[in-house]
Amino acid sequence: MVKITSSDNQEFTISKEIANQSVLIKNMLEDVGESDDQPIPLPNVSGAILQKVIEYATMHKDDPPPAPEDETKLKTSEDIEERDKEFMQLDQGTMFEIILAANYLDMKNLLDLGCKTVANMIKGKSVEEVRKLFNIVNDFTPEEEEQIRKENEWCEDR
Amino acid sequence: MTGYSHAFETTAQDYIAEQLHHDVIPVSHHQTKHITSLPSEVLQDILAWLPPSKVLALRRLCPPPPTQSLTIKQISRASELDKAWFHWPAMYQSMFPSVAQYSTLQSINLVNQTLSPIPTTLPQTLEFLLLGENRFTGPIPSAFGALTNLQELDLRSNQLSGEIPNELLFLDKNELSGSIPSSFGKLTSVVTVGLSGNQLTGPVPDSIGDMTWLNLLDISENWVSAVPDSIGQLQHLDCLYLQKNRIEKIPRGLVHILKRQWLEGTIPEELGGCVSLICFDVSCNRLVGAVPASLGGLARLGVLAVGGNEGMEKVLPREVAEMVEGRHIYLSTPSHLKAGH
Repeated sequence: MVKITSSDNQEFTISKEIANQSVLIKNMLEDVGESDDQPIPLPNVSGAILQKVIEYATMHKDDPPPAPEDETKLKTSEDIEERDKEFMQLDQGTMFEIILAANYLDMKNLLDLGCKTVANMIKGKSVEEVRKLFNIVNDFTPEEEEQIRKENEWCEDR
Repeated sequence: MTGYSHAFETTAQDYIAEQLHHDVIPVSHHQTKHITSLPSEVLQDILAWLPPSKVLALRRLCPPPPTQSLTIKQISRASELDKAWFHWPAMYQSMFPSVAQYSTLQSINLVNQTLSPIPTTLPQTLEFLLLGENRFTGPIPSAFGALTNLQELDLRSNQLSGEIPNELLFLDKNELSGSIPSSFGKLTSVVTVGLSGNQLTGPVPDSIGDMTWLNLLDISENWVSAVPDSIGQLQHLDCLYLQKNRIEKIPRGLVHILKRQWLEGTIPEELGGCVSLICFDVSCNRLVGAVPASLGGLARLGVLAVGGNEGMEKVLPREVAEMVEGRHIYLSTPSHLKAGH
């Protein structure tokens, strides 16, 4: 078993196969050696988020090892498994925190899932809708925005 | 580690379930993070799942607009717009350089668009790449050599310089120097090569005979010194322009226009074997001897110009004279030529 602690000092004990899904933790374990019983500190991830991440890792612990990247294979953000879709039914703040955690912990599958999910939220929405969806403040000057609008005429859906 | 862990092992699932029961921080109301607080590499990862044209539209979202180049992961959903990458404005192209390879265009026509710089990433599917009459400078991108489906490349009237890489070309009226590379022979599907009006030197390589489908070869107005006999192997060659060079010997193969060279010696008898010859113009050289009788058998010949070669015999052989009379052939012989021409 491997012990990890969150930024808010919650301690989790997880099996090695779960821990190894994070390349960061895997490398740390290899560095410190197996004998070390000290918990691994993860100062960038809160306990609540870490719990969700462990939930995801547990769900996927029996997945076959990922196939090597096939450049010719068609890639799409639509091929998300049902259980992963359910897992990502979160409020935006939590979703972004999980993406950040996946990025930090170096968990490619979870990061991909998060990125695909956000991409799907953006898809089919106008710039104004995307701004609203993510609370993005439009701090262009009207002149700047008009300039970009002009440059964008050829590629923006009207 | 496994030694002691077995005894206490609970699965992570059980552990989570247990934790969830006395969870003090509800996940959903934890501190709010915004999309804009995601690090740029993660944002790029997200954008990589969107069609490039959509991402470009998002430039209007908030400043600053993305300046570094973006990548795409989603290659299946490339829109027609994405596939037409080569017609995007340059600024957008530089944001998405990798989209170029997903473009499935067969033809790119950017003649006279005064573009700069010259595009270097091009789709493999390309058959026609027309970039003439622009302001391209510098060397010809070597990436052009990888376009194995290319049939026509038009780069005329630019300001390209340096040596010619391994390509097929329409490179007329530039400032190219050096000799024609022998790798031209690898361009077996190329139909047209235009190199006129440059500063090319040396002989045309023997390998030109391997350009099986070559139909038009224009090397006029250079300093080329020789054309190899292998040119006679080109069965599809209809137009060969060699005027205004420094060619000293008529190749034994197909010859069309060798006007104003430094040609010496005689017209080879073998020329009669070039049955697809339409135009034979070797006027204004230093040739001697007679027009070979074998030329009388050239069924498609329409122009026979040997004038301006003071050392040549003034009388045509009977076979050639009969051919000229029987068809409307443009003929210029030394005797027909006006003085001083």
